Amino acid sequence: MNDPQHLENIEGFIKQIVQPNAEEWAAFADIVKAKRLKKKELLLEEGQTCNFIAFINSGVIREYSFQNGKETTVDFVSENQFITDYQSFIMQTPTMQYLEALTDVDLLILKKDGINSLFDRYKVWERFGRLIIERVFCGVEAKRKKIIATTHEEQYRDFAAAYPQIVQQVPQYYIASYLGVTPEHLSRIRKKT
Amino acid sequence: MYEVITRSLRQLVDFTDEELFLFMQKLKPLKLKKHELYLKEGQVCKKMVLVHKGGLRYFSRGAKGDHTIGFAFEGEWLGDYESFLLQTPSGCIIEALEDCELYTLSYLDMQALYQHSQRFERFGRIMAEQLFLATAKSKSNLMLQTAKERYIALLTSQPQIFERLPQHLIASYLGIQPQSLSRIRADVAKIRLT
Repeated sequence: MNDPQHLENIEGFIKQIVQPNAEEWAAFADIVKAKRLKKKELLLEEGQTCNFIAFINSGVIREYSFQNGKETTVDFVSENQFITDYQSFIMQTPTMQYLEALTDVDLLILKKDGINSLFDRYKVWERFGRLIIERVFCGVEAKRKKIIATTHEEQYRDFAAAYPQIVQQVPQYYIASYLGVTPEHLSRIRKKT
Repeated sequence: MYEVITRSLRQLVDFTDEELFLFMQKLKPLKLKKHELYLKEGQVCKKMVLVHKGGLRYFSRGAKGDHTIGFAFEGEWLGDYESFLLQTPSGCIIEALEDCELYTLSYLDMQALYQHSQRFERFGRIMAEQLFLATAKSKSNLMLQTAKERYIALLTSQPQIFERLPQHLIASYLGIQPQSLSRIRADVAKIRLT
């Protein structure tokens, strides 16, 4: 069974969004499993079908993939956030992403079967699922609009403002590949901003 | 139209007749003249729109001209869904490309439907999942594909767009200058002939 301490962060996170009663919360707690990753360990790799959503209790995970043969960082995710490959998770198709622990990471794992059974049994969890995927949509839509309408300089400035910690914690060449620029170009951008 | 909409809703969720009736009651008709704006920069997108007749363009204005984000034609939904969900001001514009007959669904009505039953919650989740998948794909195409690859993908997936839209809007959607689009078209036409 879970150490209740493991659920402290996720309970705070969830209760900002929906208000499950005791029975609904117990049903949720029942599907959660704690997991620990060592630095550099993979949570997901290319070719696997992603059947979970994870919640990060502590640490940082890097999402990357090989695009035109080149390793490209897609995102960084840190504590109190959910991480998964939503495309593979929703469609149940093989992923092209790698999820790698950049530090030691403490996670909670929610399996797709368990999530679907919560959706079927409780309106509040179906609602929570909607609100989460709406947030995820807003995140990717904001990034897409940014790519359409802004320069790399503007994208770096916004990234650094939104994730000051990650800029400190993460090697520069990962940030360069996240922005789709060469490391040399990024260091020029950094000097300018 | 009633039939078309209710059928597409039932494909997603097993709604009761009563729920479908309730949904259809919430749709309000709206007509726009060509070039009229459905959404202006700085406004909150309070309603999502379903195109019955005509077409809409979704874009933002930059220092060097418009950035076209997308289009919607008959049977398709459009809105700044981000602004709609968060009820925050939109940075984008939605304009009628032709005279349009539309139906709208307001944020407040959508919330009332979510309260009404679990099936509407599920409908909202599936809609958001589908929009997420489409947006994520479009984002990675923008990052990874060349303009020529995007042109070929558009030609394959939405050939009707080329009959409905002027060249400069297609160029703006592909993120290139109209001159580059002519060059790409000529290149691709050559490949298709040989």
